[in-house]
Amino acid sequence: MQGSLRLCNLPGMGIKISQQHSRKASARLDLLRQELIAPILSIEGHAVLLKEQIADPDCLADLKKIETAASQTRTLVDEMLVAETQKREDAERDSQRSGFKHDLRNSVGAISGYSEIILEELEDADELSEDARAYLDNQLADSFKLLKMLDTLFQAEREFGEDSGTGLNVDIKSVFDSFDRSDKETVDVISGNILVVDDNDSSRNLLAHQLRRQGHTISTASSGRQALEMIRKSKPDLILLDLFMPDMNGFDVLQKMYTDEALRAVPVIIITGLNDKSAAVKCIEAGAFDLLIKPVNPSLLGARVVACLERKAWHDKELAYQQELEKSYTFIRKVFGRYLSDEVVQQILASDAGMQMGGGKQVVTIMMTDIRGFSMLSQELDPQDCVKILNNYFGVMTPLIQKYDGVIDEFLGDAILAIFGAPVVTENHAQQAVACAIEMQQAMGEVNYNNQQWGLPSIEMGIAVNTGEVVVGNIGSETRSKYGVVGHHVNLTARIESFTVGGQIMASEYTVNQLEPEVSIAQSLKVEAKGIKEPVTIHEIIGIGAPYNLLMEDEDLVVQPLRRDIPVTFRCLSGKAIADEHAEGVLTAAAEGVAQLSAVEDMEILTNLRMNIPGYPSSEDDQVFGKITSISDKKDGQNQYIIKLTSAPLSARKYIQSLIVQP
Amino acid sequence: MTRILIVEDNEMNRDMLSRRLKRKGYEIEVAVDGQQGVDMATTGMPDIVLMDMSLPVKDGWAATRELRGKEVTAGLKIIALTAHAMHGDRQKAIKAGCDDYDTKPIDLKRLLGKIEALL
Repeated sequence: MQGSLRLCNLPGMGIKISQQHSRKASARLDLLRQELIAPILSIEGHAVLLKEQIADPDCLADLKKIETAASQTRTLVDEMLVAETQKREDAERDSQRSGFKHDLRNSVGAISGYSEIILEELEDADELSEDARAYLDNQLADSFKLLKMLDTLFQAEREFGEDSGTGLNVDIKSVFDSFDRSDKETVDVISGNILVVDDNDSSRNLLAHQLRRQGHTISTASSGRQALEMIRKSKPDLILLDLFMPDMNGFDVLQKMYTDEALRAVPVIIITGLNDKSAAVKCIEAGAFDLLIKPVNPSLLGARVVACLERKAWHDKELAYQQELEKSYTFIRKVFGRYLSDEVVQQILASDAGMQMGGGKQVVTIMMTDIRGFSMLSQELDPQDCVKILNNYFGVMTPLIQKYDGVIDEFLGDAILAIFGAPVVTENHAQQAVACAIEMQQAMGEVNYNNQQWGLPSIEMGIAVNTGEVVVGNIGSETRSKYGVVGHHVNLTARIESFTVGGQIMASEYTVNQLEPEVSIAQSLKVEAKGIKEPVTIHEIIGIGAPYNLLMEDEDLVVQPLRRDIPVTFRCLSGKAIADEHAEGVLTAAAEGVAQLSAVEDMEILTNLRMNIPGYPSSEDDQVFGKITSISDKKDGQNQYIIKLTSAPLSARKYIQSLIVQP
Repeated sequence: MTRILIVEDNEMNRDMLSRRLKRKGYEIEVAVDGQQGVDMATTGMPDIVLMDMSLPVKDGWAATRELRGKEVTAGLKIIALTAHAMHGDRQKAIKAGCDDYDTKPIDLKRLLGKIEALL
């Protein structure tokens, strides 16, 4: 897949949605029912737990009453909601609501009342365990919660209660109102493939018959084993599962089913007789969607099944969406490589505009870094050490670039090419890149500390930063594509990079012009670059103001005189091509990585040199490369150049070092 | 000892309320419908009557009115209890002759406060 990542609207699997009856109303009804049933389920669950905590037969009898009351409450809630879906005269509706309200208050009151009685009696007998207290408190809290919901539902006078929210997440009025309107609306009805599992022929046939009438496609199983086989084979949209069956009970079927990842999403409604309440609660805990009590009221069954299918359809959609999202994620990872921060991946996924994979012109800031003299170093070192140095270096730099929202486009040998401001478009990419560069230079201390610990040589990095319009996009073939940048600003960045010495950051005027914070500039130079008519001004950046407040430490590089001068021959190099001219001079002073050259030739700042030290070293390969970083006053008619050694064999560095007069 | 007559048709409510009040040291009698309530109140003359309003045979409103209408029982302290908790229930209960009113489910502390206030 390539190009657009727009996610298509994916339909549910086997669930059909057609326009007929009230879907909105049933969805709202379902939500409301879930809200009301949740505390009852919790009360029933705690009652099961309490049984293990209580020995006193009177208290156990009271607990039984709580269970009875909870079951009554559940039945009342269901009956009430079914009544609400039916068309009634206003007077009849009011009287029905009033009746439900009365009965519900009594049954919920029995839950709280008996919970309090058990609490009191256990406390008096000094038999109240901490767990039992917690369970009873929970039952009380659940019953109060339920009562509050019911009060809201019936807009009861709340003379004594404080009005602290309804405790309901559903706008009840709209739920009830929607029932009044429901027959005027044209809405969707849902049908699906339902498996009915019951060992009792008549109740299985009854359920199947009722559901077929409601437009669903029904298959049946008469035992738990048969059910499992059928579930694995045909993956129904919904399962109605009888709890008590001779070969394998519903709970076992549920558990077996849910060990299979693929079947976990198939919703199950448990069908149970009144007296298997605790087992039913166990099923809900094990993941069943809901439970219905036999004999099942047909309208209630219809509403529950539709609500469940609807939820399943959404779940399927969500799952498909997630899979699509995962594919996109993998795709982005493949294209950008592993050096893209999760944050950036998330941003790409979240933004439409940021995902212009096809390619487009965009102003970005490009950063290029290079380890000075690394090609020479790599020839001297073991390959393993070489890799160790590079991995250490990339390992320190990668998180820093990601921290400033940079995208590492490529590691080219010892160089890093990073982009700021793409693929996710940002406003402040120039300053992010500059701040990042400073922090990267500061982090070289850490890089070299590691190198020292391993007995490996220190390295130095130059960084170029440039801002300009480039073509960004997904470049490559079907099998190997990569997000990248193309354009002369990329080449210019590489060119600027060649002017840097270790420890330096050079930024083009295009970048500097875009910086909002103040920057400290050590020096500014004009350089010429291929493809650009006018010379480009580049600035050596050593610090950036708020909000970054980063300043590079001054390199204390005062050259110390050498015990004796080192005669050298040198050539001026223009860029990286070697010019033919040949000249002589002497090195008179040095510091680590720096030498002072005394010569008659007039040369410009930033000129690259290749020096041969006659007699040392002898090999052609062992040449010392350097760059003129500053020019001081003439001495004895000789120009005085400070040469930063950009690339030198270790032995040559050590040789020069050994001649420094220690202060 | 303070004697309380509970007139309540709901078995669980009757059970809970009578047990909890007994624990608080009251002497409890129970009636299961409005007619039985009137009869027991007249013969027993309790200190307080806790009267459910929706009762079989004779509802709480009628039972209260009847007690108020008879000279011997006119001064009985009656607290109305209702699970309907409808707007205006309180006024209706006071108007029917109740001394106070409370909603079900029972908040025992609140009910005890009302009982003590009437004694």
